[in-house]
Amino acid sequence: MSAVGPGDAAPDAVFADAAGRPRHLSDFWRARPTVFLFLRHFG
Amino acid sequence: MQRHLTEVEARGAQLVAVAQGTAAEADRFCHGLGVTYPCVGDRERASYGAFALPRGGWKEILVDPLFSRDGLKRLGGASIRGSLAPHSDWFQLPGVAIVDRAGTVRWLHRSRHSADIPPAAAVLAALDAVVA
Repeated sequence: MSAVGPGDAAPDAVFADAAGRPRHLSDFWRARPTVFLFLRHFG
Repeated sequence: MQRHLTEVEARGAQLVAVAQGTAAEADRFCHGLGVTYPCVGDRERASYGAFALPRGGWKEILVDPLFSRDGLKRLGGASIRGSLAPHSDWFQLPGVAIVDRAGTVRWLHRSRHSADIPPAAAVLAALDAVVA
């Protein structure tokens, strides 16, 4: 399987918010076009 | 990108930082940097894997500006403390993705080493094509 790229459906990864609720990346892009900045190790 | 937040929002888009670690660790880190846009914690690095952002080796991470004197000054103590967060991977390389409202990846930059950060002008130009 090839890696995701421009033109592909974005992967909708899920992670927990501060309250422990699941948060989807799509929660953001459904509202507005979104620039995701994936940071290095500092977080 | 904080300095370009207004330009992003003027295009009807938003910035979201995804940090390694818990939501609380991400909050602390982004607050320390003065980030005012959403900053989320991805403890399992699920999104990094989903976008196939690579891990580097020592060679790729030692070009990190963090290791320069200026980089250390700029990032400050808060970032250093954050770098020791238990849920982070020092070898994980960064990236930038632009996703439109339909959920399509419109632009993607996978960093080849830790200093390989796309200039803001390139990100804004890519965003222009999305919102045109």
